[in-house]
Amino acid sequence: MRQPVINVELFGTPRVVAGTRRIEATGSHLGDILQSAVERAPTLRTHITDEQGTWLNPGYTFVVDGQFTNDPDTQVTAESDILLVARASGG
Amino acid sequence: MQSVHGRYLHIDVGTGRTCFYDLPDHVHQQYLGGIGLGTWLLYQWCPAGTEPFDPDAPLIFASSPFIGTGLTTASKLAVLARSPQTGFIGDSLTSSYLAISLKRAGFDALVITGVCDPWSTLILNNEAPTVTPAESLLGCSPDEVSSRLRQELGAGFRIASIGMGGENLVRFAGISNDGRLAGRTGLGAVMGSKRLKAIAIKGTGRLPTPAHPGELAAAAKTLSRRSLGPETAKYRELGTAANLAFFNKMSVLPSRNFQDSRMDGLDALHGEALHATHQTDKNACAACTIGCEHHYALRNSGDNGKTVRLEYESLYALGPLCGVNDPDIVLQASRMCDDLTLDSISTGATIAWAMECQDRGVDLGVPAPEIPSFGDGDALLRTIEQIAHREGIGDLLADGSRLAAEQTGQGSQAWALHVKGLELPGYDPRKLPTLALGLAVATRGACHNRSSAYEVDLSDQLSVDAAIQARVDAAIHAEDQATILDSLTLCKFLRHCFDDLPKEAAQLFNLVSGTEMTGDELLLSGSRINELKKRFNIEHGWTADDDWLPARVLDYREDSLLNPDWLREAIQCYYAARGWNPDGTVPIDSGQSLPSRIL
Repeated sequence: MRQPVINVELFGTPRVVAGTRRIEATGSHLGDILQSAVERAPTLRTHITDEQGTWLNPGYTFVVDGQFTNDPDTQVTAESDILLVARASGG
Repeated sequence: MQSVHGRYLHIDVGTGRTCFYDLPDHVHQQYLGGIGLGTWLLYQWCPAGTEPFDPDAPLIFASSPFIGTGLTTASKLAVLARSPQTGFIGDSLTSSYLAISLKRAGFDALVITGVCDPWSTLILNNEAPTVTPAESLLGCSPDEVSSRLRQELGAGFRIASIGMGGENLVRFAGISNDGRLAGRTGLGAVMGSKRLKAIAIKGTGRLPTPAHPGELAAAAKTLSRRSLGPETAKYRELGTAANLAFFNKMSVLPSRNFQDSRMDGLDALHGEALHATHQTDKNACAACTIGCEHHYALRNSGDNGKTVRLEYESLYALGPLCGVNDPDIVLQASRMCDDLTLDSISTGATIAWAMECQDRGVDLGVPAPEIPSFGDGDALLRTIEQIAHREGIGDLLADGSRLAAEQTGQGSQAWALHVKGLELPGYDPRKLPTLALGLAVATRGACHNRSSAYEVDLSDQLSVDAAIQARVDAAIHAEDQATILDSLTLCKFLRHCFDDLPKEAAQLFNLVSGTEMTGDELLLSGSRINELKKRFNIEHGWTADDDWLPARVLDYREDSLLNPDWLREAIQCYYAARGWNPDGTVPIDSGQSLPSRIL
């Protein structure tokens, strides 16, 4: 089955490191989306993924349709509004 | 107890009289240090009836057992007084080498009362205090004061000082040291009321030894390593300015005096953009491994080569809150607040109140063109200067939005956005309900640093439709945890570096102090400190009406998660969970031991 193409909007360090505001990623779950995003912008990998490269490190989180989530199994569709951002811890 | 001196110094700067007082171990065990110790001292020295600018009103500087132990970020000084802005507890933290100097001078805290004549500098060369005239320093910025005093006294002195804002008793003036500001609640005005331009401290004594130096060194090394991990990358790489674009996207960025929660045309002001266009270098606070302080170039000030540190809160308050999106104006405004020692949140928010007055044709007692308008950057800069000098419209605004609105009337209280007189930070509570509760009940007013509950809302910790009790429990936990950090004097940016913050912080406290405290007992200390703050407020006139949010953020809006009924119920649950009475007062037998006044 063909995977949907979804825009992931980047904020903070991911935006600076990737050099772009948005990345087109494919997948039906957030875990796939992350892998697709780091394939398209490999410089992201060392900044945002864990040591195994399978999921986000503790400094980052996804926001899907306004809801914060750190679950790689979160389902997404082509209509999903996906943000990738550093976790909030002050300021 | 180890790692403390067990005594503090009181000095009356009017008479020059000094006295050392014992600090019993149980005070450190129950109130830890920093904000907790300072709260205990304020409770001792500022009984009911003491007005913020009274000669007898204390200005307190408190250190902590962690200072000088090698624990990263721990070189912080708590400054406390009865706030001239809120009338309640005024407490602020500042990271600086002054904290180490004070501790090496041989005491755990400094309590200042009295009024100098003429304007003076308090010089503490270890335990020997002198008060010397400082009239030649009047009008100088903190940088100039530091430079001149170090030239005069020697490089070993660390300096805290006030700028024009403090001299002119601006009710939201702060105290500057090492380029950092103890910014909120008007402590610089209290220092100004004592006609004290600067405090210079040189401490060359030995720091009190920790209980378990070997194990502590290993623990400090581990914490430093973790402080360089992904949990703090945001602060090291872009700083807190990175919040702006994301908050705008999430519609939690207050703009135009909270008339909206987002703003178009902010691209050049985003932290990511400033990083590319204006950033010059980075710095770290004293004894800190994180290094979150990002510096940016000033381009339109005429001060070639000068830079300014910029945090998200200054960016929000001097930018979108005033409808301003020019980065050079915002950076210049932030620099002015530093030089004039004005709290940038209250400065921006009070000017935003005046801007809305302009929009609505309200008479502020000055010619209409003198009233700033939303988006007018030049007017923003001019008004900041006027506030610090109490000139023109600045005299009204220098008292903060609450008092300015009370004096102005004409319905303007409706758009004075404050809690207990302290203006709101840059997190729109309409979509952040846990923070909304935290802001309403916080003892120092609308402060994100004392509540910290925004991290509940800006995470997957609770669902949008979470029960009220769950939000109350989360708000209390966030508040107590923030108090622990403020009292141990650890930076809040470290908090995700712990797997179990209370437990691991208690272990650090035990290694430092030689006590045997559990994580639960440490959390209880946080709760005890918050309760003593509340008792202080009650003694100084607090009523249940003070625990509330501005009407504007409670008015119906389609996307808002708040309404008055929800907030009322949440506050009742908060009081009950704290063990307080339904009217918010604290029963004598609340479970926390009420400290006796020993003075």
